[in-house]
Amino acid sequence: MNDNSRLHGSMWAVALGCAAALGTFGACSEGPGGGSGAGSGTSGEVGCPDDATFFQEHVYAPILGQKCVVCHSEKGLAKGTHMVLDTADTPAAREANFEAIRDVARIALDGKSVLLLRPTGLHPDGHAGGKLIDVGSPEYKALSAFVDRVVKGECDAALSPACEGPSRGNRMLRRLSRAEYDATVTDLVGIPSTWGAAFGADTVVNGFDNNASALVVSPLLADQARRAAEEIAEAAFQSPAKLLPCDPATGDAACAAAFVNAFGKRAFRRPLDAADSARYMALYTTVAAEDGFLEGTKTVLTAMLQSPYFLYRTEIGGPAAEGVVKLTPHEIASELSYLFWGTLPDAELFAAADAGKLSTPDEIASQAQRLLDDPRSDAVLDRFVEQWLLVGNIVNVPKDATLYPGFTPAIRAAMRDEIRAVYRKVLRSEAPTLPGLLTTDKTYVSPDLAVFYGVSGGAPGPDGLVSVDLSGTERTGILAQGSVLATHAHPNDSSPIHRGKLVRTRLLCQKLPPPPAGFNVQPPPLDPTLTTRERYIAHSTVEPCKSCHQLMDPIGFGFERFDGVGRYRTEENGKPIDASGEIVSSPHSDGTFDGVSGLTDRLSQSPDTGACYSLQWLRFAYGIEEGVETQCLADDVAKGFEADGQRLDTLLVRLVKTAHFLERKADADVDPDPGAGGAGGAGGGAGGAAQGGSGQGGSTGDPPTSDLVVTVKQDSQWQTGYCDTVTVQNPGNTSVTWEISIDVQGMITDLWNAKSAPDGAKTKFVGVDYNATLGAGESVSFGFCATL
Amino acid sequence: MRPTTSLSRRRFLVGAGASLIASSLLGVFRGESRADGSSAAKRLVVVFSPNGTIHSHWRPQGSGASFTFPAGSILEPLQKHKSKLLICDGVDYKSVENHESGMAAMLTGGGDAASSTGGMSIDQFVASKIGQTTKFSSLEFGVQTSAWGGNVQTRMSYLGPGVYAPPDDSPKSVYKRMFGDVSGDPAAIDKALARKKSILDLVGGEIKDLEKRVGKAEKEKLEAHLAALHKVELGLQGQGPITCDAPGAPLDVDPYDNASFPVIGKAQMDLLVLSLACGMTNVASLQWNHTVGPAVFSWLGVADGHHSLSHSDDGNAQGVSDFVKAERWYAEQFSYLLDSLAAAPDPDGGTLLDSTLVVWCKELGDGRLHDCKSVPWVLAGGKTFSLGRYVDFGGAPHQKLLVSICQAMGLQNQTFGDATKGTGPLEGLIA
Repeated sequence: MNDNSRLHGSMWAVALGCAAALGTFGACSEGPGGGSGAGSGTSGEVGCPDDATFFQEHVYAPILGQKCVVCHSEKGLAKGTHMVLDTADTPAAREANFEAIRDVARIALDGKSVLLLRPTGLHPDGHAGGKLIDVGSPEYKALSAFVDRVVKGECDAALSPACEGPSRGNRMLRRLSRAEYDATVTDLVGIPSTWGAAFGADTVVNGFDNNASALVVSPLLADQARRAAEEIAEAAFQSPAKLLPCDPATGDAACAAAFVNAFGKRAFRRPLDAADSARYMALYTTVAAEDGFLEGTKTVLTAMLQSPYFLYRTEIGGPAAEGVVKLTPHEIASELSYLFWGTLPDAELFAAADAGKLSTPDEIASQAQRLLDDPRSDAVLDRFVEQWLLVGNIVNVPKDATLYPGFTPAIRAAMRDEIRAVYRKVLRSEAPTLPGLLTTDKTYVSPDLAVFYGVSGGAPGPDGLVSVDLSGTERTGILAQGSVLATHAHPNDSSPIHRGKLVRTRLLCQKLPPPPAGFNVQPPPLDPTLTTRERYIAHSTVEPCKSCHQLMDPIGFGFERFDGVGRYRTEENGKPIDASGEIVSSPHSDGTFDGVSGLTDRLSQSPDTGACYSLQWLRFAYGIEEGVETQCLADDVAKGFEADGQRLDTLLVRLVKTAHFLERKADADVDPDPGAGGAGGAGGGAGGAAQGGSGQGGSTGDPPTSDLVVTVKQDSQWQTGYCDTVTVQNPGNTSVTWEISIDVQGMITDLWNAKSAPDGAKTKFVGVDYNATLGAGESVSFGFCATL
Repeated sequence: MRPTTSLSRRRFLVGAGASLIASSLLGVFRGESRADGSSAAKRLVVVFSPNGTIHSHWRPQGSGASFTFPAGSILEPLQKHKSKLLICDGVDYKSVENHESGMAAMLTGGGDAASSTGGMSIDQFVASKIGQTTKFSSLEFGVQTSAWGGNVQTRMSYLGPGVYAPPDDSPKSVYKRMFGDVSGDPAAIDKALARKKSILDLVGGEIKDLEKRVGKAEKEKLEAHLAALHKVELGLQGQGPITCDAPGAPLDVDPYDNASFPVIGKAQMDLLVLSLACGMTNVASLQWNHTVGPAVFSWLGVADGHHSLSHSDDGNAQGVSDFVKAERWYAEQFSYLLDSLAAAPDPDGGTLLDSTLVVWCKELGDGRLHDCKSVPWVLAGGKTFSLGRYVDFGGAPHQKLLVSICQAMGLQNQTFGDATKGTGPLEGLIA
């Protein structure tokens, strides 16, 4: 834990205090006393010996320090609430935070801790910061375990241990992203594919479009992928000789079988088993009988492109042993090829997997190095840098053509090419480090873009780009490139807000709260007598805007020597530009600077930047969103990146050496014998009646089973129907899985927060995921409407 | 429920000939989706435009059936449809504020898995009830919704909690989906459809097999995949008679070129009306841009982005004027959509507008304040509601409006989304 504390400190426990005068925030503050209810367990004696450690590891570092401190700090928007965190990284602050949150955990409303109600948006008064935590998520479980400790003294909540031993993620199905789909189809059938690019846009998580959880097959995608498969097959079979292992004119079942196995192996990225082959041969046989060999093989190809084994990269692995599954060599070959090339494995990777290699970190690392050294890795590097710095939209970001007539489609495309070239070349250079990237004094631009920038270099190289030496200018480093500057700006103006936000969220990995509701934060209108800085300065110096805008605008001011399309300027509206800036509330990066070069000097010396950069690659490479479960993995990778002197290239090879790359946690719920066991719930003991209802609790521990108190309240009523709210309370002193049966008049048309089933003349209700269990003294409400 | 028919689709196609709209005979095969029939609307169209409003420029003058659109106000372009409109003021998204939350709550009513509507948005909920007999249970049309990718800001339709029904931003793609499977020799079409279905069967079997070998989260992903394939299969079977020949293909434009925003919008509206007129779907949505949307209305001579303009203070006359200009443009588009629906005959008689409930909603009330109070909703068409009125509901929870919309579609549910915020329909929609 001590090893991790510095990284925790730099990554998570950042103090993004929104220093607002609370009084002006009527609409967005929870206000003192909000959410107070009957306190339960106010005795300080309830608890467990290691609560403070548990708090720091499972509650503060991964959750509060990341998602909550922005507002819940002494100077933040939520400073008037019960929950105010001390953002200093000191033992005293940690102790104070533990005690403060323990108090919050003990405030209950209807038997539920407000520590669980507020961030999940379930509190009747809502949560001004929005819904931050999903019920049932790992974060929720950690908070819930903390509540159980300090309220009930339940000390043995099972959470993942703190970074003991190698950390692995969950098994996933990773659907091909749109770009991966196109690259894979291109390699598989030998025709350039743009079908994937035309699919509906996928859900983007943390800026990346390859998050495994978000990549699903929607109804739209299913239809588009189906149609694409048909069109691809049609196009591919224009020249069947290129695809088929025999003369198409004399093709027979044997040739079809060879095609199924050979094409299928590349499409599914693993050898087909007998059942696979039989399935596709059956399809072939049916179609070929009607329409011949070519139609049969074409239909096989069409089907394979719609198969889950094509659309998803699977992580099935081998048999589970001690809770761990080892990925198969072919799965690892796919991991490698998609990580570095964004497409299916090449012949060498297939051969290695076929030979059962790719099982040791060294074998894998050597393949990784080979793939990274190959220019085919350019496409993935391009995607990373565009999604990391959120510049993918440079070709379409709306701009005022009257104000910026020179900002042509060619210039936009050249800016995209520039950032790609710089990232690749730095990563492949002699000194491929993050500070080198942030401060590089070389760029590579089209001759047109050189003119647009007002810089000059030599003759264009073979790639059409001019190499420009920028030393001594303001345009050094990757953040001073046109794509970054123009994308993070207004259509007719620069934008200190957007540029500052970019640095906060993408370079420092800090989350910013949404603009609070209730007062207008008008971007200051253009004014021909003022500089942008003069127009915006009120945002970061005057309440109420200051509280949050001081986190962004003073960083963004450092970019003011570049206008809304990235052109260099020394004055604006006849006044000299002041590009001095400041980072606040980011302990390892705080301080003043001048211009983008000053900012990047500061950033490149901060450990926050390195930890953030390695986290961005972790997200992109593994297709995951960081959370409690991946904290240790993220810390390991970040530490390794530091130890390597923040080398960009070795970080990528390091990513394939983790336990996560080789293995996954076995799923507890994949039961080889589904017949065994069963959910409990129907405990013994007759239910006690209350207001016509009977309830019984299946005790989660030993008897006695307690009676439940059931109250029914009618909320609304009309001629043909009514709606009721039912409250179930557990007056006992043990947790129960509740179940009640009551008389229901008419037929239920709507039901929420519970499930129902007929129970003789009555109706039985049980809880849903998050309210099925009732702790001692807790109560739950559900509702229904019925027609008579 | 509609009777199943063994008539193949191509016979309908032959019957339809070259005419755009079905002959009334084909209406025989439409069947009622709901038992009551009565005055319920047969189709639902949901339109969204972003970034709230400025109420003082949005509100009509007067109340009830006696109201006018002030000159220069946002809704004035809807004057010609005044008698077909129900303008809803004073409808709040309770306990919701800001862009993201407003967007998420707008059509779901804040529902989750435990709600009676299962976290679905109203278009998807209605589609799940009345969309089972058409080629598409619903169609989602987008206009530059996804330049930022999919996220809570850019999505409004939900298949369940956190599960988006993403819109299609490309008229070309929508066109292919609508008409791609129905051209060519009828016998060849039938054979091709049977083959496509056998592929779906094979793939579905693979998914079920894969489900046995993955954990809970991935099983859910595969279940969603299966549900999506089921929709594709229903579409291929083409249960409803497809009664149109394909019109000319829309222009192939870059879906994210800002200047093409109006062209794309018109193409999408034309396809939307066609999809209803041709019986391909009963539920369609049209999403203009997305919350925080930065579209620049350059075709109106406006230079700043829509979201920035939406924050214009009253003292910023240019900003307010540009925002109102943009909002009036959206009203003109809504008017065009109503024109098109009014011009298309319903196969069962009357016009599509008479049998279609059209809803124009927003994610915020006052965009400048980021709040969700008095969120402007405009309802149009159908026969259930008493139209031609401007009604202030005085801070009613929008869950009640969503219930009312369901009931106008002939559904019986008394709650929509988070029932703790409100149950039952709005009073006064049916005069």
